[in-house]
Amino acid sequence: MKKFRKFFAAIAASLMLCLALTSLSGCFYSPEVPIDELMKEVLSKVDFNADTNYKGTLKVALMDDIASADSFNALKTDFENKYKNIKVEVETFPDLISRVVTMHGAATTLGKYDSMPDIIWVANEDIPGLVSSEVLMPIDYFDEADKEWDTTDLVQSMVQDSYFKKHMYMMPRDYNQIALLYNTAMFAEAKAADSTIKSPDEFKDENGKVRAMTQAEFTEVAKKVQAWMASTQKYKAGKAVDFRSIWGSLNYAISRNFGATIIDSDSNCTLSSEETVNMFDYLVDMVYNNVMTGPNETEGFDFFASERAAMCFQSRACLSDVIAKTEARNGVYENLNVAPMPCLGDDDKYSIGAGCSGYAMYRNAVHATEAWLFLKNIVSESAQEAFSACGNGVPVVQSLLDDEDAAWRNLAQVNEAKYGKLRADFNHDAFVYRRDAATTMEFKKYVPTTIVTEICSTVNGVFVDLLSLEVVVKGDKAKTRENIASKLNGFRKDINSQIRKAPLE
Amino acid sequence: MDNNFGGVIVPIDAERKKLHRNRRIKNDLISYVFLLPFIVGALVFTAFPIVMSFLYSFSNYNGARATQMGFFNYINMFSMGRGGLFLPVMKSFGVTFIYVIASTVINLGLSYILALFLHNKIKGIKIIRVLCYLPCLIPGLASGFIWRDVLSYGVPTAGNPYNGLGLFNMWLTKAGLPTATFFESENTAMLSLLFTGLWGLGGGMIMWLAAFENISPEYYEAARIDGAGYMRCLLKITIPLSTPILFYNMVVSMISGLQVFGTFAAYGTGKNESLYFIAIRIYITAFSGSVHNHGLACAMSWVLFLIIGMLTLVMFKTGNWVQYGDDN
Amino acid sequence: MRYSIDTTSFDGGVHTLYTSPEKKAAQRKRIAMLAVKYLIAAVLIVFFLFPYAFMILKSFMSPAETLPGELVHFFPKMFTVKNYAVVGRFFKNILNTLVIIAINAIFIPLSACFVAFPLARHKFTGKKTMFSIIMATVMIPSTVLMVPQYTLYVRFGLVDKLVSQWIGAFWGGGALNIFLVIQFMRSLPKEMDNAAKIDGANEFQIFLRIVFPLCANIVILIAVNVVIGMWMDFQSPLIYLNSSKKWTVGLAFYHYFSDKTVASQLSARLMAMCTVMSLLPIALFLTFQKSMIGGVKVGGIKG
Repeated sequence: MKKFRKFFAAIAASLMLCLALTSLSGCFYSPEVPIDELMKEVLSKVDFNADTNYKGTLKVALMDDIASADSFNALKTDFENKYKNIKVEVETFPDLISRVVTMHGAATTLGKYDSMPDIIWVANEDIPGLVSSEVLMPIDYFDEADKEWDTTDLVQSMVQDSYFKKHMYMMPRDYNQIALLYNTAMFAEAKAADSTIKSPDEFKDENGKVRAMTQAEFTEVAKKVQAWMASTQKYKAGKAVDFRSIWGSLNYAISRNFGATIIDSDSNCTLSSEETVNMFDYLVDMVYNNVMTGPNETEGFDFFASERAAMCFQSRACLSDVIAKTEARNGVYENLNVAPMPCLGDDDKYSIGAGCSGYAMYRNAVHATEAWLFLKNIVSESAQEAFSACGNGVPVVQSLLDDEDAAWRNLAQVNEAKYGKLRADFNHDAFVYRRDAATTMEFKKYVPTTIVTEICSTVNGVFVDLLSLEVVVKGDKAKTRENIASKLNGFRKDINSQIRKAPLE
Repeated sequence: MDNNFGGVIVPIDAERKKLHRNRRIKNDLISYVFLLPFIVGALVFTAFPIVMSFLYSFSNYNGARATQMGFFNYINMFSMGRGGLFLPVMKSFGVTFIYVIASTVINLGLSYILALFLHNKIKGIKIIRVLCYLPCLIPGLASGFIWRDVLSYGVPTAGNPYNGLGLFNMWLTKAGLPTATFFESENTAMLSLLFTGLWGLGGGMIMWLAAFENISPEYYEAARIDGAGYMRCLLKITIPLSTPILFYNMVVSMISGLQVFGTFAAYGTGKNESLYFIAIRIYITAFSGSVHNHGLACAMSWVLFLIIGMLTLVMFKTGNWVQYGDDN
Repeated sequence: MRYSIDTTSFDGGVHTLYTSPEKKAAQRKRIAMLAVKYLIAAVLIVFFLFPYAFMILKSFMSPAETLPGELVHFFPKMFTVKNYAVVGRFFKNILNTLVIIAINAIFIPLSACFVAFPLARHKFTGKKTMFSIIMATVMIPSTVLMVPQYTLYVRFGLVDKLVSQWIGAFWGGGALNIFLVIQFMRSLPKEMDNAAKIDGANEFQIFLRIVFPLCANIVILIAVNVVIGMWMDFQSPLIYLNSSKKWTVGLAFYHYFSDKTVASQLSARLMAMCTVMSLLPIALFLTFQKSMIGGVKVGGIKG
């Protein structure tokens, strides 16, 4: 009997294995199909002649914060005004990217894509991973097939940023350049206490327009403001500059300023170079002396919005968030002004971080026609005007950037409800200052595509680690610099080994 | 076999056997009907997924489809050189095992002592026991966040010596002692986690108290007659007779400890992956980020499964120190 | 009959009417030991409860007091109840969770008793094999099943539906629960079964009318354990529940408070939510205390 039992058990197990094999191998293993063929089929189903009476639905997936909702609503309203018969449905997720990939897996397994969104908001960093998970549609094929539309009107650096491995995966929505937001009231108070403090708008070039401060100028202003804040009762718990240390674009631009490259064109990590050590020397000093906020202390504007900082490095995208956060405290709003991003390194290497986010089409979008209409519409003038009236972005359409009457330069008139109290002398030029110096995160090009996201987060981690001030030896700058150098060396080795260990493509 | 009663062949036994067999089959069938939910559940929700997991582990299934089949997941996991995941995965296993062993020892040991102390008849002992058990009722998720707040730590800056300090660190500072990094440093994160586990002793305590009640009082009476004091009773009766429960709970504790996931909510993967338990790693590999690697996650799950299997076998084979009472 | 080791006196607790000097000394020693015991008990209680006292107290602090940079203090300086308004945000999630745990709490003990019945009371072929199979499933951690079960549920179309959270309740509730019930059932008297059989009842009726009603204690123990365990469970909902309408309270709690800046600046709200979330398990435990501890006694013997 024992033998029988074991025999039966073995039979049962192998039956199960066979069952599993047959039901699965057919379903889950499928070889690669070249993308050109796939796209031919997709494009054949898209109606490129759809006019404004086209009837359909569009499903959109977004992050669940207020700024995303605001920006999207502006685009949605503009779209719905033009295409009155297309219904737009929105769903939000706190972990958008992971969810979309999971949902994609589920939809592919079932073969039904009805519940999947057609349009997904993406930031630039997410594109490589999403492409390898086959979630995004290469819209350059749509661009080519659509004879009436092309990308020439857009800021070309942002279009390039939306490309990955020869295909375009995102329609850029805005042109985001980092600038220096500052609180005029706090500066006025500071000046009253210390007349040598100059506010950022006092640094002008030969044409009388506000220019970027040099490192020396900025450091002086920041330290003096910090000294003044520490001496007051009201501001002593704050810091002069609200600095978000896990922001890749900001960090990379600062390193470019100092001449550091993070990863050079030979895919070697250069974190232990002299320039990088100089940069961290400077940043650690600023954070330790309470001039700039430390890692994880701020989302990049909480201190500023609650009047615990006099300045912050931010892009236009967070404007409505900053204002929303200050309304409760009645602090910053009327005193908000902006100056160009200061040069935090060598003057001849001035770089400003820039990037964009945008919307992508889902690879197996059921409503591809509507989705393409929507994506094209994002960069139409009216949509860009509507979107920038939210305040949350500078248009990516070049003609609007220098247009004095464009909505984004006249927020107080265009959107009185939200921005009515904005100062008359709000310096919008600061958000497009020296577009030639704008830099996107170049080191991503020199890193194997399968680990781009990982490397970016490792680099962010370097900033967070060094700015948590464990390296600081109180009162001994030389030793602190040594610690910084040795830590950077360790990180350099880590990143180099990460690059070497990347799976072969 | 016929029964030969004087020439008349009466096949009574055969019929009786048939009757008995039929009734037995009928009874078995009824029993198996009762067992049906378990059998269906085990086949569909346990056995089948395990087989599927085995298959997936040989592919690069990403939740949608697989494009390659092969041993690459396993090779990847065990290679230390190029493309190797050996070190990170071993670190996860290491962290998990350290946590399981340490928390099991601490929990079972300290709750035993606590139970001995509370195995008393002083007035109000019931209320004291309930109060000691209450922390176990706080949901684990909430508890993680509470401890993250209480044990929070930050580096002091020039203007703010109390930057980011939580309750414990504040007390330490006020007492003039150096602050502790708790969860903010990879060296102390595991210790802090074990420290927070101390508040869960109540659960073990209740179990041990129940165990003490089940030890037959005759043993103690006999010991008393022989003149044994407290320590002897403890060492010769209480502890040996607690070993069956100890064994059972060690096995259960080990298996549930290897699946620790709840710390992910409050602590993520810990500073520098110091709390990156294997269950969390499997989840993140398979469901997080922009590339989901179900194949690799299944391979890791199978390695975990084999390790648990081996450990359980070892524990059962070396379980001779367990002294069951009169039954089994 | 309970028997505890009396450590307070050498004579085994026998009291006499004589008050000789030795007896007086022994009495003083007893009182001293009693005092020490109560002292240790007090220390234990303070140790176990103070973090949770802090939780409750912090939930009453106003947000300005809890900003990062403020020195942490134990007692609220500006008492406010406003933090508890955050519970309103989780209302739908609490409803979802209640539906899930209600179904689980009813069907897990029910199916466990159903499955345990033949194992405790009947003889049948393959009983030993069945036992060892059930034992074997104990060794299978849920981690191993996490990924392939997901694909299975996808095939069944259960992703992003609350069904995925309670579909597992009908299959016996796991080996540990089944063993618990087996232990319990073994201690039930068998005479009533036999009487019922003679009266012509079949096994199902015996189960339904006789055995199951007697299992009230163990059913309550398992049900309460299930509720306490699943109340803020977040691993399974994290994987299966995509849209925010379907989230359970544990998942919503995680998404809202895991952002570090939210947690550090709204820590009073965090504590308020934690306090509210703890109320259910504590209330359940205090109500069903007797049944639960009784169940642990039965179940914990050998396993």
